[in-house]
Amino acid sequence: MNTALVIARNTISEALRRKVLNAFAMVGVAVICLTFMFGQFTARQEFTLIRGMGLGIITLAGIFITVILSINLIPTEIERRTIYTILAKPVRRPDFLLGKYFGALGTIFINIALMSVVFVIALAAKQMLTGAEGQPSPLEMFKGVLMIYMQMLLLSSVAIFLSVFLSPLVNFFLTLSLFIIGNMSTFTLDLAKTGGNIFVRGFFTAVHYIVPNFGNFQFTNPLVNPGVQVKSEVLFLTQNVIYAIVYAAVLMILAILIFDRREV
Amino acid sequence: MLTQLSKSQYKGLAALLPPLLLLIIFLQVRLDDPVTGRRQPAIEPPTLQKSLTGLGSASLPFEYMLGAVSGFRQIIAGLLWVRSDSLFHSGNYDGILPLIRLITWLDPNWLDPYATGAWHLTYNFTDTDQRSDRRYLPAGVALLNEGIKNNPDLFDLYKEKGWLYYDKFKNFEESAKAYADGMNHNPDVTQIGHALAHAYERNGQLDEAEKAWETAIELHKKFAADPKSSADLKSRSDFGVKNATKNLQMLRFRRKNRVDDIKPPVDLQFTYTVTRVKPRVIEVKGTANMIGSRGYDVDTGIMVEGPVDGVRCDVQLQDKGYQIPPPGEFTFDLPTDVTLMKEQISIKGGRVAKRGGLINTYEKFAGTVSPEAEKAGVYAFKRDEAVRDLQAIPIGQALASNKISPWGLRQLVSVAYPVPYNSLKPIQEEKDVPGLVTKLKGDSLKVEELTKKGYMISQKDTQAPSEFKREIDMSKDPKMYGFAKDEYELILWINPRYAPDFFKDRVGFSGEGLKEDQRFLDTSTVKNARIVRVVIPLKKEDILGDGKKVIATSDAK
Repeated sequence: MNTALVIARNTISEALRRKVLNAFAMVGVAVICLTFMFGQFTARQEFTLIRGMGLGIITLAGIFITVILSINLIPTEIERRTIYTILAKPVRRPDFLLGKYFGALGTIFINIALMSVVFVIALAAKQMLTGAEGQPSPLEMFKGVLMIYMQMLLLSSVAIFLSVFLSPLVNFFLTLSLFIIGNMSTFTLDLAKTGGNIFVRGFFTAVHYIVPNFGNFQFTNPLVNPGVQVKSEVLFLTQNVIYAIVYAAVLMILAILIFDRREV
Repeated sequence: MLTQLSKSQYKGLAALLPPLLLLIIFLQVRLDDPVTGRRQPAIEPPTLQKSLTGLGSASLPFEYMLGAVSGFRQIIAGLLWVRSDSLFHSGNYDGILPLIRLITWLDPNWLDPYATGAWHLTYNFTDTDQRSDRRYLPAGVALLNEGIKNNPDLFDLYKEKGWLYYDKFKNFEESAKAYADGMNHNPDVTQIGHALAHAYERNGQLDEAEKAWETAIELHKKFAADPKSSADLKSRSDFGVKNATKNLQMLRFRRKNRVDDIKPPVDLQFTYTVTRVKPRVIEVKGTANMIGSRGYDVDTGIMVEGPVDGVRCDVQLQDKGYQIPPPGEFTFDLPTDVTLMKEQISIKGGRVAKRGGLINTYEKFAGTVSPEAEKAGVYAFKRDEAVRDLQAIPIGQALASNKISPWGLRQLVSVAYPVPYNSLKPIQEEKDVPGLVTKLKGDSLKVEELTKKGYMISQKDTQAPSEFKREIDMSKDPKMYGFAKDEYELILWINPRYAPDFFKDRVGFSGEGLKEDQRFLDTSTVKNARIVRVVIPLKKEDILGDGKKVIATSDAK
């Protein structure tokens, strides 16, 4: 495991050298601009827009960072032959793969955390300056950020799993497609229950339960609309965290099993 | 080289997969739970499919659709909201409705689109003369009902619904119901509690109105004393206590005073004439005896009464027998074959002059007098008219020759030496009049000043009724006024329930003080209220025909 952590640390360092954090800088500027963009609306509408768009921008940036980073981690090492520099040391394939995955997670965490902190500070400053009453605490946004991170944790595992047997280009489209399908769980669940015949229902039942369900992590609504109450917030958030970790574990085990048999 | 797994390690890892997959399915089942999982409306409002499939023009462009299915519902809703705002500022109200429809589907917990959408529907679609298109009213209520259904625990949309019924429908019963529902959901007391009391009062439910004020005062006090309340809430609550207490006191004064003030009953002597000016253009005019309170004493009630301005005559032209349908499921498709025009016309200009009484004849005649003169029952007349018809004489001359009545003296000293602004009495008390008259007689400057301001003493009695007149042009908006049917009805009415208080002081909260035998008294249309109402049947030809023609008049009644 120590080996994996060393690889993870190196992966983070390399990502930072490749200026992945520029994404954070851009999002930071976007978020700050966002807080001044909707002055023509009433305070309540303005904060609804700022919160919704802020969380949306963080998610969007998170998706691109996650996908682009994760699909390239393994193939780049192989294509550039840099993987051979590791050959000199007794590194197990699972450690290599897990190291890369943890490195990706670390990089994504740093990005999302920085983006979120800028967002929350900007939101708090805006609330303080406008003296808006009845708005939820800006710190509440971190619940949404946690869900975004869990979504990225799962998305990264999908991308890394696919990267052990697909080229980056194919992987890019497939990962994004799975993200979109996984977000359509409203449809898949409805079709699983009300589909035209048993085959349709069976197909969508399988899709709903087997495809990573990214729609699970949508926690924006109660954060954007202050009056909306979630009945069991802690339970909901906990279940999602467990779901993301377990699903990512399954994908990483599959990735390890495939990578283990692959010619390098 | 990278070390591979041993066979046993490989098998061990593979063996972990089935239980983990089962765990994923188990978790997914829990997450699909409508109570604990994401299927609860607070997390995933169940309308995404509608926003993607859409209705006609209300369907999402591809890029928005992709965003929405990718988990960016709120950001898409926000972008659509910003777009709808720019359409609003460019006056493109038609373009806003599909966007509002999509936003409420994408984010059914966002309250503002419902409120704003209903407002657009019920207020902003107007004809050339700014009369709103009332065919949209059921749609406006339906949109608010949908919002309430999606957000039943929040007071905001009950408030919007209450106001819509209060202001636009003048249906105070439904308004009070909506506000009362809102009171059950942690309301802003000033916004809902006060409005509820007003709605009850206008619906003639005076006991309920008093209780509503008492409840509001109690809640305000509770919030003001709660250490958890913010400084802003405390301040608003303090102000709310004062405001509600004042309103409650006024309601109690009025209930007590109006018992006597509505006697003897007032005969409005309502008359009307409807003339077709040209095709689709009608002129509605008439007169009414709009007696109300000019000077009011909270202890004793009306001290000075006379014709008042500010009451309106409602005019509605509609298909024969048309009734606004009850709101169903929201749609912004209009019933295009319906013609429905609603207008309100001010009734004003009623004047009274008594022999020996004070009148105003300022050369720059504007028909109005100063507030102190108004409270003293003084009316404005044109100078030449006053001299010729009323044989009015200057104040100095009247004082010297005693051609001024006791009431005229009281009017005069009340105008010359007005009661303080914050006095509870509207005019000088009778016992103070002799002393003030003596003072005025010795104050030539004051007499000169009043004369310069146009005050004179009438030497004749006269009374002119209030009038209303409006040309209603429906020719410029053929889409709104299609006149697809053969028969119509023009309804004219005066409903005291939403008349100003200075009129209600004289005729009562619900028209109790309207005379029994007047021609157009209607006691059945509005529950427990007496209103003046006339329904004039019209043929299509009456409205669309050529040439000027009187199509209805009260003389024929």
